[in-house]
Amino acid sequence: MSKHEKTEQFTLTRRKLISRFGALSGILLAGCDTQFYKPPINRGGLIGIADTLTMASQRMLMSNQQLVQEHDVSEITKHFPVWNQSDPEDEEYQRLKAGNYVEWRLPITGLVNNPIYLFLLKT
Amino acid sequence: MLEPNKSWIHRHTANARICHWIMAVSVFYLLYSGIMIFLHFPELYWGKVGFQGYPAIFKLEDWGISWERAEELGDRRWGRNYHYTFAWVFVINGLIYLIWNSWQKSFYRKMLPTKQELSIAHLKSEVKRHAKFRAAKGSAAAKYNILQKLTYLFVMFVLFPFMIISGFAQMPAFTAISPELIDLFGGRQTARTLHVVCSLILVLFVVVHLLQMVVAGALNQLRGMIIGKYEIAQESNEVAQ
Repeated sequence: MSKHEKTEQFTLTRRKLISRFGALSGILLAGCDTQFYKPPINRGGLIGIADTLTMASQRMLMSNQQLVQEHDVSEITKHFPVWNQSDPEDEEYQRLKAGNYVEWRLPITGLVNNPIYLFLLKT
Repeated sequence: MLEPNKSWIHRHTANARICHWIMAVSVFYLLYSGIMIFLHFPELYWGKVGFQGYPAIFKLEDWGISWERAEELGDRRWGRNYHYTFAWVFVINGLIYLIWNSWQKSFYRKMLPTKQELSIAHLKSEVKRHAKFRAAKGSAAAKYNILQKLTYLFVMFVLFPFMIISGFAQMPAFTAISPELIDLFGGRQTARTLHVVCSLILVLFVVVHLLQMVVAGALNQLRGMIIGKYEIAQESNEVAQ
């Protein structure tokens, strides 16, 4: 009885080992087969190698992960930096600004089920 | 006075020499490309928020280079490409060095400070010798002195890992999978600032490293690091022993 148990244990561990090895080689093969781990353009040379390493390691670490750091609602920034231009001379923008943006609309159109126009609520 | 006797030793292993020069090249490119990236955004902030106009703790503008001028001087695209490339070279080369030298016992023999070396009296005499710019002679010149050992260990196991971690903390994608890392620094801007501060400490190390090389004999030191042969000038009293 005890001998039988022992053999069973042995087969189980070996099976585990084999399946693990299989899974590992599967991951490695997938890396070779698909374009998933490779940069879209190979720039060649040392930079090309570094590109591939960066892309592959990022994909390996970050696939099936959240894309950005999650923040609490209370952490929404109070700073809204403006790059290059804070008051464009554009005619339409100036007209909307003069009307305190009441007429401003954000169109949600195209390949959507419910095309709508969003507007700012008066506060 | 007697002409000091000279003997030759094998100073650095082939692995140490090759890794040293690959590291020297990659550190040069990392610094150069790092400066190029920094110039494209020449301000440093503390905390989570940072943008042009936000209170900065360092502004290149205060040092006579305007934002526009710095942007012209810098090249973020070139800089990022080379920063990533040589970061890989640096990390792979560093790992080869560490694994090889951990396997070879020479690492412990050369780098690990002994109890006698860590005594206050010995430390004092070594600091004095360094302050007078006097090179070690005889058998003492054949091995690293205590300040050298401590500096190398500090650079390898404190500054280099810190550069890598604070570099990772600036990667938006990496902080997405490991927000703990960015919380550890208290924000990406802090990580960026500390990355720059640490790089300045490394520049200081390189300057002192080169100065020490000149003090100890530039030709001999360079030869030791290129072909491995190193000349030991023996003191006259040691010859008598």
